[in-house]
Amino acid sequence: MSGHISPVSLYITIFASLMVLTGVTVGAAYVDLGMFNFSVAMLIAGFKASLVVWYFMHVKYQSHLTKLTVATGLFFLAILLGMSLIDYVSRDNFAGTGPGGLPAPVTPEGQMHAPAQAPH
Amino acid sequence: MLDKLKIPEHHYLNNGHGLKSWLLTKDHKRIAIMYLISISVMFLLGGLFAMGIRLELATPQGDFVSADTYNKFFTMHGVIMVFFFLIPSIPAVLGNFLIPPMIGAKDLAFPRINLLSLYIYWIGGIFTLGAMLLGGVDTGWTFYTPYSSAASNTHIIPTALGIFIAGFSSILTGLNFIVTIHRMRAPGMTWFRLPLFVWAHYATSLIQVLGTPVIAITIVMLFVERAFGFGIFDPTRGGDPVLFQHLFWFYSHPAVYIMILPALGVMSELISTFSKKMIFGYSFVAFSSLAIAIFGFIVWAHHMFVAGISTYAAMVFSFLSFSVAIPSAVKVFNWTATLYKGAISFETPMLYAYGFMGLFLIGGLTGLFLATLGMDIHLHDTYFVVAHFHYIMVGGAIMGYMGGLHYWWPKMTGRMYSEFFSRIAAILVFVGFNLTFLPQFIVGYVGMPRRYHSYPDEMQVLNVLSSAGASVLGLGYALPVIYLLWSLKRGAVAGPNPFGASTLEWTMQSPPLTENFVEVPIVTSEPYEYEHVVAKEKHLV
Amino acid sequence: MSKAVAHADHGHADAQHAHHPALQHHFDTMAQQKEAAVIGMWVFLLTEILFFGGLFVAYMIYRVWYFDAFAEASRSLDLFWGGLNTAVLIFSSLTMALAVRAAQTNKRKATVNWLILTMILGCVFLGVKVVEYADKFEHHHVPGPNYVWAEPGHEAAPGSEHANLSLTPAQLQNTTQIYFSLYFTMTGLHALHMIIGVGLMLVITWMAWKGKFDAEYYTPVEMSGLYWHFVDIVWIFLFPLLYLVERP
Repeated sequence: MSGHISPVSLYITIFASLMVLTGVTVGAAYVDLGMFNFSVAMLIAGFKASLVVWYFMHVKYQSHLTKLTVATGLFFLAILLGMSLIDYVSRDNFAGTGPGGLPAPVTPEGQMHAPAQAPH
Repeated sequence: MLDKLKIPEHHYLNNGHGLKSWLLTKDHKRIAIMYLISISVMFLLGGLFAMGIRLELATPQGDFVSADTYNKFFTMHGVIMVFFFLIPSIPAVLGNFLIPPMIGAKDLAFPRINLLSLYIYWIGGIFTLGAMLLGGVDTGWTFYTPYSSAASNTHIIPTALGIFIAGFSSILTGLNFIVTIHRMRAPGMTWFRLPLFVWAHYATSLIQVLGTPVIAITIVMLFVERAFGFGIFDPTRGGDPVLFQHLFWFYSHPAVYIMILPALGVMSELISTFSKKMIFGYSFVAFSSLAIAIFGFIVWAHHMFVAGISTYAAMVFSFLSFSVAIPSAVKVFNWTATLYKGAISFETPMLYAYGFMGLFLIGGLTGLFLATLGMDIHLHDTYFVVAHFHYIMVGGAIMGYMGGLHYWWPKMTGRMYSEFFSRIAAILVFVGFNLTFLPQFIVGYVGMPRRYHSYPDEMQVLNVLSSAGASVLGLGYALPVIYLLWSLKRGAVAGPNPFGASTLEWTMQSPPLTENFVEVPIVTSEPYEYEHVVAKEKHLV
Repeated sequence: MSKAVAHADHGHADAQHAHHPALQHHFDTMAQQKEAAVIGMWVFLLTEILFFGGLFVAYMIYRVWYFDAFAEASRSLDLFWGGLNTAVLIFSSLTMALAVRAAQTNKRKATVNWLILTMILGCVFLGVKVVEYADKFEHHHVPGPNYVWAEPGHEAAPGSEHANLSLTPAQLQNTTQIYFSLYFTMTGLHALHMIIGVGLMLVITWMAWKGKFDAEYYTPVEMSGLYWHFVDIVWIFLFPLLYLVERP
């Protein structure tokens, strides 16, 4: 049984979009957006990935089960990333708030040490 | 019309002879039998290490083996039992054999991938057992950094490599089951007509597929750290050893659900058949399997309460760990309601089921003790934890496996085993198990640490009881080897449905044909309906 | 028994048409077989998502903890090669999609040509990685006992004298090692997947050349395509994460 056959022009369009977006990603890295640089880069990468999944990998034309499978994978990746963060975000030494203004885990000699506060 | 039962002339066991016909088979049933032999060997090996542990712990002093050797004993016991016995056991043996007939299919979706998963399991086993012969590993089956990444000089890389490889076997089995259950069901076999065994394996497969890759990448990171001196977990360079624990437990906690969910599925089959009653609350039991699988992914840090995670994270994971007990409780309540006013009998598989219900209950409840933050600070790394997980893994998962093995043995082999000896073995297992592990709750509560080869004198009595219980337990596991093998030649012929069960696999001959069904079944009735079966037994039909 | 009141009469060859030679006996139709393959392949790709996912967790945490080290180390990577590789890989995804399309439309020669082009692009990617790795080896930026972040008299990363760093040189020596541990593990694993992908392409190209595919059955081409696109997607994320932490 043949699946859906996309026109060549569609593939070319997606390819061109991906190349343009890559250029945008590089360009955005040279603009100082502070902490938003990371979000912008990830958003663009996520959009590029979506284009590949939807059109190059034909998920747009696949069954509901296939779409659900993709969504499930992304959901569990989010759990892996998000719930690990629950620990790190709520530690005292997240985002460089240790003694002396240095990122807490590393001493000036470069050695790892315990946080100055009493461990919880 | 009681014809004397005979073993059918053609079946999957005599369809092709010689080593090649087995090693190159695509038949899911033959693959299941080869898995059965393989994991039995692994169980024996893991059991020998357990014997070493219990021999050492019979006396308070560390006098049987050195501390380093003892460390290797409990490490190898854990590695073999978890990765090479419990995780494959029910899915690879019973799941492989039964899922296609239960859904009315001729085979799994990908028979060659099924065979590949067996080969991969063997290769993984060779790596790990080879590492064992070279001198083994002493880190504990949990491989915590930085000891495993920087300090231990034992054979971690080949051991971990073996686990990595065996993980692929697990992934492929799960992948196969997911696609099969979605796309290979017979006409009329809707999701809510599936046996609960199938639901349980579907949930298990989700975990296998989503969780195993994370321990795979953790092993890769451990490998590069040991082999190349990379510094991902190295605290002296700013790395976080707790990161290893997060990544390790992200898989290893769901892994314990890989080990118990299939047994829960077996239980539903046993309880229904041996009370001749529809499972109470079928859809609740079905959904509870999915709930356990999904919830199991968000509780992992309850293994890390005292490892250095934040208090806030500990509270979140503690709360979530309480909630994961709920779907398990749903199952236990529904089984109990099924038994109520059912036509209960006491064949061997059902004896294992009864034992399971009591022991799983104790194991599950003690898990709640450990999920309680304050209690866990006191109980973490004591024998209380050891007792808790053995109640679930042995009192639960292994009894489920044994119950299932005895239940479906007539289907797989066409033979009945000795009911007398099998009941004795089941009772020995139950008694021996409790004698081994009940005392461990007590010694753990009063502070005996796990993974130590010596302990204070006043704990000796309980430890001796535990070691004695282990001998009884060992005997209980040895007996089936004898009477099951005996039954292959001398057992009574079973016929297609010796227990009067209602699911599709019992409509096949025993042993089944290679292609399972002569004609594709069309399913028109709900699962677990016994009127026809009971009527036939009473010769009304 | 309580089930299966009626049995379907399942002849091996339906009255409508003889079955396709590629139809395996445990499937009823080619459509069922293809759908099973697609789901199966996506389930496998899920495992790959979670596999790389573990590395992303590690990256995420250490990037926040040691942002300046990550920024410095990222600047020491050559953006030209990274950008070129990204373009090469995206282009190879196009050629792969066109290869699948050629198989769908029964064009054997075109299928083979597009597959060969995809493989060539894959090898270009790997060649560039060799160049990059060699450069890193030369600068002693491979983590381990011989690691040196900044050689005396050498500027480790262009533009670093302008950066307002919160880490001392000693701390940088250690924490940039964490960056490079992740850099080599992530790109190394990715490159390993590329190598496997090229190997896979070789097999599929040979099968296409032998005429094993037609409009009814081109599943292996499509499955290999899914794998190839996935490897491309991983790079789509690796590129900004590793090369574009903070420029200049």
